[in-house]
Amino acid sequence: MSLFSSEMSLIVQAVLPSFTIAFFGFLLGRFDRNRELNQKTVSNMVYYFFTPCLVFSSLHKRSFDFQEFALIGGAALLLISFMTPVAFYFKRRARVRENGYCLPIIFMNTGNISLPIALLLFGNEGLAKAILFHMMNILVLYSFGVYLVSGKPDLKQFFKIPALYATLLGALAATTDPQLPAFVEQGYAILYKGIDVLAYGAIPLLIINLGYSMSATRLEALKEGMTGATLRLVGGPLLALALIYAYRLGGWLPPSAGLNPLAALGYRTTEAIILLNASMPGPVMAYLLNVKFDNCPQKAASMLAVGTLGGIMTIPLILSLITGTLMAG
Amino acid sequence: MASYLSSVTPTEIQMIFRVFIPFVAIAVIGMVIGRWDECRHQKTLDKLLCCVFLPCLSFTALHRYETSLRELLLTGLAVLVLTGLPPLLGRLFAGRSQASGVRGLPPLFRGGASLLLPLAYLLFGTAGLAKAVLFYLFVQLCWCTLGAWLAGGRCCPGSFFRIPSLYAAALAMMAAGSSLRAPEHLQEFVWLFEKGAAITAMGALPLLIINFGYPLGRIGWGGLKELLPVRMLGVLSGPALAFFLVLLYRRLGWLEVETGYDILSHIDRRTTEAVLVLGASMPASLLAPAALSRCWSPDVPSRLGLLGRVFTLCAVLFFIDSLIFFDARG
Repeated sequence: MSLFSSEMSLIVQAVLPSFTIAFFGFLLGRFDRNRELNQKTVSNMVYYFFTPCLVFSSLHKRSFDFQEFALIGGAALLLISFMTPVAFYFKRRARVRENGYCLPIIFMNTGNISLPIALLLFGNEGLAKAILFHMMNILVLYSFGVYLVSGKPDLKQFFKIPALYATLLGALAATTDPQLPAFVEQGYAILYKGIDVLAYGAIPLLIINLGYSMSATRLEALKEGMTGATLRLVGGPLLALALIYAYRLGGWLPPSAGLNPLAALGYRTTEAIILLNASMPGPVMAYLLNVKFDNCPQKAASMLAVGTLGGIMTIPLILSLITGTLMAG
Repeated sequence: MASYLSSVTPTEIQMIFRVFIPFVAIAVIGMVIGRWDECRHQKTLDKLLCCVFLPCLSFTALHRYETSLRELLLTGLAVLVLTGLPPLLGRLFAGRSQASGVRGLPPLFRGGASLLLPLAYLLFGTAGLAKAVLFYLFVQLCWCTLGAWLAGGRCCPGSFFRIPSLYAAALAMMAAGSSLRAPEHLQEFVWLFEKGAAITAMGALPLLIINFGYPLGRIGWGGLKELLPVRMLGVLSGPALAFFLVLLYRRLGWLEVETGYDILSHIDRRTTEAVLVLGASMPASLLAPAALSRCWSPDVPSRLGLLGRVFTLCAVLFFIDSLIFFDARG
């Protein structure tokens, strides 16, 4: 007899392994009383090596669909642009001057939490779609986000994002199939193997880093971030649902199964990925940017902590919405 | 011998390179990270590996693998000979000077973790990984007892019992060996916990290789040239001794050579041999339990021998393929 219904089981299967890994990170943080673990080293490893490899590894294995990229990337862009005025409205109401307040509301943590869930729930197909969303979110964070906190766009930083090149290379590898000499093909096979091995490290390190950060959270500091985090966790999915509805109305994601059930499954997975990512709390990178430009980092940290803790409750709810409504349809 | 060596086909050479080149490339990435950080955060990597990744890897490798007492004894004895014999001989020949004993330790104590685990998995799959985990744990035991005694004049067995992987491995072996099963309604949770551990375990593979490359960022070529000839003995003695030991095991009938009707058992025995040889070819352990550093911390120049071993490893892989798996290929 199974403890869960089949739908619930799917959700638990997607969430529990990630939470287990986050718990390992949390325990590590709790036992590491002197905070000897240098999170910057871990972040650098993930940012410069592991994530680009994960991006390339999941993109080059499947055919690259430009329409799908436009739909998912466009959704990320639209969600960010819808959330921007909302965040600014609440910033004014909270009588905060710094724009850094808005960053954890506007942007989503599409890396640490969403990627492993997408992989566990939808397999490599879901992971590849989640990566497309993640890339757009990161690219806008590094351009528009940096502009918000520093007053000037940092295009240099934008072009320094390693995952950007991994995406381009992954898309190139997936779309082209040149006839190469055998030894070059073997060279590629060796290269891909190395990239795949490095990619294994991305997801656990991302989650452990998050769990480690969570272990330093103090309950009394959480009050400040309540409004922003609630806005992110509730507003995000609502906007995403509206967007999915609009996509369906526009015929870009047809609701009916038609004659090709695989295509229909692909559309529903795209919708699920959009909804899943939109329901994520603010990204840790937003906090790091706020620290870098000294733009109200305390409030951002508080919002991230409340958002991530709240996500433990809201993400399973969103997943049940996905499995019960989107995927069932 | 020549016929054994000529039995290696181009496809097999390709397979070895397919594992070895990515492995070296990832180690170079570790070296780059080490250079960026000026190797100041070795503790970060050690902590991540010791406290989270290695326990998960040990658990994942062993919880579905039935470890026999015979295998434990064979591996334990091999590790004792491979790690204990050279320093003891060195101590005997170099007199009772403690300094020479300490200098001899790092290259002779095998770095069972940093390299053996990912290599064993990439080359021999989950069975190879399980055997490598056992090898690693025995090396750690030797570090904390014989190693600490040779270096500081007293054993630190307590350090061994502070290694989280030991408990993860014990738990996994208990889970694999016992007939007790979790209540049916909890089995799903157990399975999901195992899945979380398995995802983390896979992450351990690149991290272990990066951890190997990380301190190499500190090595200067000048020092390397100076010390390479000294290290060559340590580099070559490990695999040579291991091959000799495997031959001895075969002669004594502890690892039967005959294929028999059970081809899977035959491959398993050859994998055991391969892991022993591979483990003996590993560079000095940089992942000695943190607690051991209270008794003795490995000296920096000892890391110079690491690079020489990378090249030796490549040769050892060819020898493993041609000499050990020769029969298995039929």
